[in-house]
Amino acid sequence: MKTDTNQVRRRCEFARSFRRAALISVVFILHPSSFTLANGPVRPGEPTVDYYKAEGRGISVRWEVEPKTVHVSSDLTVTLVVTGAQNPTEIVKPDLRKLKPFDVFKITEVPDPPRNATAKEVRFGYKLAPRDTSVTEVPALKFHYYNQFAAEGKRFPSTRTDAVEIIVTEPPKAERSIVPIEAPEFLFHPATGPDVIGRGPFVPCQWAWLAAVCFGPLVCFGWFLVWRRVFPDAAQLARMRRSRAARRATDAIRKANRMPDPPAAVANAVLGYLRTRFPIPEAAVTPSEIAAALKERNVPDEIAEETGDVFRACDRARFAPACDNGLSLVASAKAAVARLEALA
Amino acid sequence: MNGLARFALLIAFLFSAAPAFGASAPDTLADAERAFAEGVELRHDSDRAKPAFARAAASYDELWARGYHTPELALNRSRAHRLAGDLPRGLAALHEGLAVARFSRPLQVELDDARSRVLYPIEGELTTQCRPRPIRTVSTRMSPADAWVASGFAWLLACAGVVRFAMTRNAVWLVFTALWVVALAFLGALWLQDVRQRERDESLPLLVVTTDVHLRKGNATEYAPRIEPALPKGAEVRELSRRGGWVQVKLPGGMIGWIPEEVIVPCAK
Repeated sequence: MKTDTNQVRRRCEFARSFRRAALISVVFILHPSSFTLANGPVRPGEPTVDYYKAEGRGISVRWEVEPKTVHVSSDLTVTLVVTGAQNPTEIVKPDLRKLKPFDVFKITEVPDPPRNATAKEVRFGYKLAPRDTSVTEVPALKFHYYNQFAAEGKRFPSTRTDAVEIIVTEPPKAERSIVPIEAPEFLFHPATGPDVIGRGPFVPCQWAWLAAVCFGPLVCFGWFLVWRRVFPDAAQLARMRRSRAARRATDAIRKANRMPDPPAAVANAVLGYLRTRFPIPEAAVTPSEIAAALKERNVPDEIAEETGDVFRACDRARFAPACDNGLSLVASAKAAVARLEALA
Repeated sequence: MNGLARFALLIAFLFSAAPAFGASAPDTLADAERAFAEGVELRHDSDRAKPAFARAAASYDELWARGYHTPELALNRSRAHRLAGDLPRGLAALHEGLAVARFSRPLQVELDDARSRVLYPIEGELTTQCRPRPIRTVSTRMSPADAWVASGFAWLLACAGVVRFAMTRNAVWLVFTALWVVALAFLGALWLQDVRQRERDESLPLLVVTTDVHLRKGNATEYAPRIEPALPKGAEVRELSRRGGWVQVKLPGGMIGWIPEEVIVPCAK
């Protein structure tokens, strides 16, 4: 417990002494005399401008400028040479940026060589870049120094550098770099011709859509009328095809030509139809028997005989091919089916 | 004043007023083509070629403003603007052309190429937000005239199938008819979907950004950017509203923010 109390006390004392030291430091920094101590003592009659802490009896200053001809915004190497100073290491480098005559230059400080206490001259380097062609000289620089051997009141004589004439020229015009346009090749080929200011793309209006809707049915209806006029039997055939048996029979008759024995195929198709629509007995296979069976089913004699003739024609075509040809056989078979279908 | 004198005065007035209407459309087109050709001749020197292309673009713009809305003119406008170094106006010209001829393949290809020149960020949220989505609906592949011809033809074939069935009583023709009716219905459905999508996506005016600009949270520079980095020059946005020299816009990704009015070029519908 006692140890803890001692530690706390020690900490408090340390904090107090630290605070005191900080306060003294702040007072020292802010007090005017501290500046005097930092920059050296202020002598009575010391100039506030153009005095750079140089001391000596006969100090001279001069500019060294290289080159004398320069382009606008190009650098001149300018060196201030101070000769005859007794305190070479204490001379402060003049800040040309604070001097109004040097506003016509853009000023860059250059690091100076190290100075020693016995040096006969001190050199301060600068880079000055004239802002425009109206600049004709590096201006004179007034330079006060301290001469402790002079009479009271004359201990801060001044000297000055001579102004150095320079020639400032326009910078050479940079060669305009010629750069081609980089773009895809197709961009360089515009569309030409009357289409450029033509009527634009066709956009169908509502009347155009109505016309398209009506066009199909009208054309097809016209086609149907023409078909009925040109093929009246075909129209009848179409009615006949309402019967599935008749449709099958006519399809089979139509395809009979592709069979190895077309007359037999036609005969089979017609017989199949008859057995479906008019249940004739299985025993009726010859043309006469078929005709007779049809008559028994109340088919008019004329139609029954014509149907029998179809089977006779088929038989003739099968066993005496020169007597009939396939086309007429197909036509007569179709006609027979149509006639019977009309009765059914 | 008698009637004849009045008529003479009217004629004199019309003739005196004629120059105010400017050059005729063919003359303006000829000027544009001359300027474009000059630009092409000077293409090895962009500093000299660009003003020529800019003149050509101005003439093409004038023709467009006069109502000559053709895909070819839109293409020429876009090319002239792009070669004059104004990519955003080139993009706007392409969009205006596509509003007239959405199906035009050359305009679509050129729009894709122009968009590929916009310096969209490669990564980050802005990439997904500001890169435009390609639209590939039926109207981008088929013109209204093509649709009119195709649907008319399908309808004709469907009707023909019915007639053929009436002639032959063969059910195959009914199947044939049904196929064409289905095709017609499919085309109609595609077109309807296209119209709905356009109403949904393109009802707001399209704007193209003319310089790199930040999308801000409010209508003043004091507002923080909604997203980093800035929208690139040539980015396409949709206008929601305007206030105090600022436009509230929506990015293709759905993000909403404000940009100044002076950095946009509108695409007229």
